[in-house]
Amino acid sequence: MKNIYKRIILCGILSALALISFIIEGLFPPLFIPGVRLGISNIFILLALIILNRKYAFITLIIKTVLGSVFSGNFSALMYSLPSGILALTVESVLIVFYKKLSIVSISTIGAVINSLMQNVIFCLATGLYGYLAFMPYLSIISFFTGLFVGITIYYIIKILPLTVLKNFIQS
Amino acid sequence: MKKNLFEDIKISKPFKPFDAIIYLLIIVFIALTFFFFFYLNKPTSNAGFKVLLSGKEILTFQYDNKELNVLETVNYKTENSKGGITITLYIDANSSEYNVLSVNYEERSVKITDANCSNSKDCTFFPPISNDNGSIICLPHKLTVLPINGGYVSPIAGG
Repeated sequence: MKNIYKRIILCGILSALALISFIIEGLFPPLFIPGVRLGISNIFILLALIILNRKYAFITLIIKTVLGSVFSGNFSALMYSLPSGILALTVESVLIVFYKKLSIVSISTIGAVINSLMQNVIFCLATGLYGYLAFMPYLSIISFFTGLFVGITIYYIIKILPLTVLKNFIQS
Repeated sequence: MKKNLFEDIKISKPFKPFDAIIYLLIIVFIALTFFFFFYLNKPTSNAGFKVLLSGKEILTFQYDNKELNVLETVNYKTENSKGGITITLYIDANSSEYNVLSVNYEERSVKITDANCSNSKDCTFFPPISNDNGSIICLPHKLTVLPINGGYVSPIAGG
């Protein structure tokens, strides 16, 4: 099988995993502040960025966000989670070029912080309730720790995965 | 680049020296937001709350005289509860979509305790409004609960 087909299959698997984890963590009560989640689905998006490439990472993100909103019945969440997810992933895909100087843990952390802050800002702009900007300090702290958790999880997943796994997905 | 990135993550430690710059930036940002939103805030009066549906005011409540005013013909019902009252607001003509508000007289607070807006019921997880700077919103039902004297932080104008 050509490598491109294997890449598409892996992208599909990672998208499905991101979608399932997004839906399941949505069933749990939010962490301290409404709308805050653990961000486990970001593990699979960042894995797509590391193992595949930017294009597949963005595809995974879009599939997770759009279908996740459809399946959870919360369409209004799409309005602020999709742009913030795209911005966070853009920043991460730029920072990952400097992988020799920055670890994946810090890239994941800053992506998580940017994601939650952007969601807050878009929510305030959309509803006109600028009082919710006061959540920003708490959101930053919580997303800092969730980003750390996601980054450390990805680090150990890649530590465990053998290098031969990557051979199938390198662009020929 | 992909193989090098993968190999690099495998052989390196989870933290690298330049990570300190990223973490420092985040910590400085958090400190700035704390300063901006809390040092510049003022104490409040918390006279009561109002409920808006699609931006239009439909209900007000004053804590001092426990006065409930429903400003438009909306279906609702009230029940006495421990320490306050429960107001069930039906937001559509068929009375099929609802939000339940719990008012506590002693704490002078209001909270949405139930709704049939979505599976996640995000509006029920908002903290209760107990001052002039809180707000609760139910996006699917376009319902907003605000303090009667404000509902947003205005650090420049001082509240």
